[in-house]
Amino acid sequence: MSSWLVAIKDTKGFSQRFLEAHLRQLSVKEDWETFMDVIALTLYGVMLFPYVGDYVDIVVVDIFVAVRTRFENLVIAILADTYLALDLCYETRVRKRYCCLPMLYIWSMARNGDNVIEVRCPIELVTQKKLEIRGSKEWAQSFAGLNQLWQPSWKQRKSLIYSYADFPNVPLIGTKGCINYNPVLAQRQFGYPIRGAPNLLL
Amino acid sequence: MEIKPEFGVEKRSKSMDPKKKMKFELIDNNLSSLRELGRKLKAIHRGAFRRKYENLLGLLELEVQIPAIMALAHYYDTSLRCFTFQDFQLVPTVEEYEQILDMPLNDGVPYRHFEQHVSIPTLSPKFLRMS
Repeated sequence: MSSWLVAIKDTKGFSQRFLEAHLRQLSVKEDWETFMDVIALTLYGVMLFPYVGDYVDIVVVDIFVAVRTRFENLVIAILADTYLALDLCYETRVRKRYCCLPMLYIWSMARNGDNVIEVRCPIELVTQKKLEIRGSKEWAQSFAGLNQLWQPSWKQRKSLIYSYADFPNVPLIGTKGCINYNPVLAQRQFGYPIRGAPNLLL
Repeated sequence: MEIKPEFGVEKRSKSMDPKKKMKFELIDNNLSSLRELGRKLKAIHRGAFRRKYENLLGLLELEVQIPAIMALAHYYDTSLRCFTFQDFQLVPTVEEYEQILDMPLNDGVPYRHFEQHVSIPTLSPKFLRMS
């Protein structure tokens, strides 16, 4: 299998096209167990931890094994990579950055707009909302008009991590570096200073 | 690096400046062929997949509107690491990401990346069975 590794940028990886061809073969053979593992690896590589376009970075193999054998949790790594991508976009000359956009999209859309349906899963919430296709101008207007905070229905109040040990704020370890964020700013978004969640239909 | 909220006001006016042209791009891979492949999984396997990998297939089916992300990214404030809107800030948090992915952190250790790559030969026979 190592012979299928391709050198890309400063790393090595598998091409998405190659993995897709392999998946097609597996579906013909009806080897669904292997199919599930391969599609999960591919999705980790191109959706959750994208690094170079159309390739699955070798790092993802490490992530995959961590999840499959040690049941490790990927939430912090995905969030860290998202912050790193946003920061690097602004601060460096590298203008194109891959990051886990579906997560950021759900995060923003689950709170943006009307027709809130009572579902517990935010992915379903956004899928069910069937957001109309809008252009960049319309989206810019929609975000500019965003002036109220409400608790999305899927969000159950739970404790919030404010800081960790001696570190300022919340440190996050990603696959491309470490970063932290400032949860004090998120207080309102979790409805803390206001007692009781504001009405969804405000 | 410590983030100090009191610097927010000054930075905010900068990030809100409509004249500031977008110089960057957040990009997404093309997932349409993977969507097609994902649909080949029958209901029984979908259940098994979800138990192992959570709602990855649901996330795959989602069509991301890139202009929306770009509009959102305009509000990103690097000094505060948050999105600063007209009169409030929004911060993507661990708790929200946990709920979106349905991967509660108390169920496992967070993944920590240490640059140690698993050797491919140990992986292939066990997981991928590539011939």
